[in-house]
Amino acid sequence: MSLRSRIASETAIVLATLAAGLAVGAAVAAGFHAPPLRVMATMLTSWRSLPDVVAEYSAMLALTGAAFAVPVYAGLFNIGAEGSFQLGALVALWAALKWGGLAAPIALGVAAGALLSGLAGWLRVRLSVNEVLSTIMLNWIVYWLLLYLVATKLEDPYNPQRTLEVPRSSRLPWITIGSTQIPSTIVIAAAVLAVLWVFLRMTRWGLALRFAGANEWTSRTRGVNVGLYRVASMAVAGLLAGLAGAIHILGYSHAIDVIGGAVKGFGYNGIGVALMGRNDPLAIIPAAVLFATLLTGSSLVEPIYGVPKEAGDFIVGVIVVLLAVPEAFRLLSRLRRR
Amino acid sequence: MEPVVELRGIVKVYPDGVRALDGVSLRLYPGRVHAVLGENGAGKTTLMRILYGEIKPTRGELLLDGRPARFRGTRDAIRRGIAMIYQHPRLVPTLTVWENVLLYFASAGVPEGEAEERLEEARRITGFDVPLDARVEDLPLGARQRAEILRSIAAGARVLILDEPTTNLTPQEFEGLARAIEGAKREGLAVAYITHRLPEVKAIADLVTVLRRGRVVASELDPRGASEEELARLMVGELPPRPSRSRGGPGDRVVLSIEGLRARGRMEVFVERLEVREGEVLGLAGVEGNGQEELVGAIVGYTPRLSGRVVVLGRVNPTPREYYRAGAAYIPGDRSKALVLHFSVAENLAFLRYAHEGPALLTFSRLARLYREVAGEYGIVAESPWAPAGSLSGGNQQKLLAASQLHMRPRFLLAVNPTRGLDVATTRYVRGLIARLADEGAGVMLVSSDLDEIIELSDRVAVISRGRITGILPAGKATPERIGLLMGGAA
Ligand SMILES: Nc1ncnc2c1ncn2[C@@H]1O[C@H](COP(=O)(O)OP(=O)(O)OP(=O)(O)O)[C@@H](O)[C@H]1O
Ligand SMILES: [Mg+2]
Repeated sequence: MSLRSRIASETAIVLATLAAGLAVGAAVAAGFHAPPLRVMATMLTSWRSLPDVVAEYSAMLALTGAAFAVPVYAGLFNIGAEGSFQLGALVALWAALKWGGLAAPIALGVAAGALLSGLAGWLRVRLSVNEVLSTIMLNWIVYWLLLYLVATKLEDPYNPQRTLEVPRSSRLPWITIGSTQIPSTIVIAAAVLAVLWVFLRMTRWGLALRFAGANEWTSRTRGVNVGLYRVASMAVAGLLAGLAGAIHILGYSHAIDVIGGAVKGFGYNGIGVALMGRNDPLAIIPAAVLFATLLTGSSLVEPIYGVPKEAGDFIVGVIVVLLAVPEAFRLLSRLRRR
Repeated sequence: MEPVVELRGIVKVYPDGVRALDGVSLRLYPGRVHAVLGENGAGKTTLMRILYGEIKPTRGELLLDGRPARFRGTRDAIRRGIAMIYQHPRLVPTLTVWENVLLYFASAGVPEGEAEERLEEARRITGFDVPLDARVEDLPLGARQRAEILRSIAAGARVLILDEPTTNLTPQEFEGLARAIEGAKREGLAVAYITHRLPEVKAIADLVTVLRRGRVVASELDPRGASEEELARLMVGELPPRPSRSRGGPGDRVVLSIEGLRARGRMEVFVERLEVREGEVLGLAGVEGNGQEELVGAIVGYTPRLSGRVVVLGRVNPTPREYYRAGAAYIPGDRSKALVLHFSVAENLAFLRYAHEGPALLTFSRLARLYREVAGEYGIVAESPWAPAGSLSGGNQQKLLAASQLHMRPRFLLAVNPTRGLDVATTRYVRGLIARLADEGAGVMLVSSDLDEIIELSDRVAVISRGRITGILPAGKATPERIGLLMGGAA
């Protein structure tokens, strides 16, 4: 199929599944005796009331989505964006408290994320440890470490329910558009994804990475070090998620609460974003914006319409799953062939 | 005689607008072998996939026993007695032959209780014997194909479609296949037989239909009434001349030398001494599976070398990357293993050309330029550089693979079955390119299971048998008989 007809059919599928998801959402809302169309409209336009939240979530999900997408090109399934994100946030917060400024916290957060995922990649290539299992285990290790440090070393003595705050010198600026303000993380995320797209589609290494994932035999016979590319793809994934965590804490949340709520879920939700975006760095951006809009919207339906938050989350889940199904199918069939 | 199946006025336009068939009709008769010939991309495979229910025609109808039939998928076709054998066997590799047979019987609707009896009958008809409890992946390609034919006939096929069945067979295996087809004919099966090898047509076909660019140019010819040259001309128009070597003799520089090499893949090979000089084609003949794969892998450097030395263009025991960087190229024997069929033509080309070394930036315009250059020079026919490689006809995939390597202007070329699946004209053309490469001073090692190819191009012929070189013959002495003797292992 040519590129144009492929894009056309893909767009048709996306619109059809989106319509189906919205219909299910409307039905759920009606089930709670809320006006179905208005509920869905509120969810889809949540950026009107909470532009900064939608912008921030979009940025984070785009980066964690990319963190899932990149290893897929090398034939790996990285579930570890969650851990890399949290480790990146934790290390950036610690570095900001210690030295201030932006360079050290960002660099160290990024490096920590990259090392964590890179480790999982190395285990896979060297010792054949399945990367899905290892990244899930690493996620839990990071999570408990985070909870421990948040409540001990990093705790704010005057505000014991959270950590100390990122000092002024380490905060990323916000952008003013008219009368609204949004975090600058969105700009960083968009720029990073654009670079990633260029890398994957327009460089020799990007091509080699994609061949390494698609056909190991031909890669080896052409002198491509498949193992190295696999580890590197995981390290890049960790880098992206670690960057997300770091700029989230420096640019938006500034502190972590004792249950880690400020840094939870971005990594896992990134998987849905990557699948919705057909694993393409550029298509991941609109997918992330949609997911962020819906997530933010689901928190609005309870105060406005009395529909429970869980029902809102359910609607988000249905829409995301429907949009993600075609790509998930493709990946699974490829996994089976492996 | 009434045909079993008839395709009438078939038009096929692929989703991207390629008009692969433009009003083709074909009849298959019971007890007759109908050969379908045509140049690469003529539409042969497309026509057969329509008959097999794998894809739907844009227009045209299919008659089964004179009545219109419509297949929703291959399963429908199988149940109606139509079986297709692809070039690459499609058995489940991790299952045993027996399990594959049962799987197929399930979709054909054959009760499991009858399985053994029917297999026995099919064995009698074909004369094939395949170990039923062997795992498919442990079997050579020829045996897998025999298993596929066996199970199709056992499942009660009335129509047998063979799409280039001999590409992976040895000459001896072809004789077995011919006997099986003879048996199937006696049982009244109708056979469609696609091939690029005209001697096979003369040997087994009763009727010949020739396609060209999606149209029938000759219908139901009697092959006995037509010479090979005539058939070839019908297929491709004017034939290019046979390639000739201006045998200036090899130069002094050794481009490949092998000393005491021991390597292990599926089997172990040991090569005491082998050399290729500049300007020389060294043919490596042998029955497939006698260590060629291992030797080739050890030369390029992706199969571990246990001991000894391989020197390629001055590089001792090169890694694959060093191998290409030294100025050597490699055309692997199995294109479906070497390409990524769901990646675009341009991406496959760029990867095979540049993976070891090349421009850092491969923008779309650069890929398009590379494609135009290569497609123009080597006559690759694709809808666009961005079409998936899998949408090319088999022959065009093969050209893509060969062209990516010739484009490097290598000083040493290792080519494994470089013309497999190519039509007569393109085969001559590619052989001509290899001959020219050698005439211009490159060294070539040609590994081929096609003796004609080896004899036509080589200055010297080495023969491999059970992992050992059993003899090296100069061009004048390399007759099929002598080579055949050495292939059998006679020193
Ligand atoms: N899936 C597909 N999508 C688009 N075009 C296709 C597809 N399959 C085949 N084609 C095109 O249809 C034409 C006929 O292809 P086909 O494979 O039938 O040729 P063929 O006669 O079998 O050639 P060969 O001898 O090389 O195998 C070619 O131009 C090919 O590029
Ligand atoms: Mg074909």
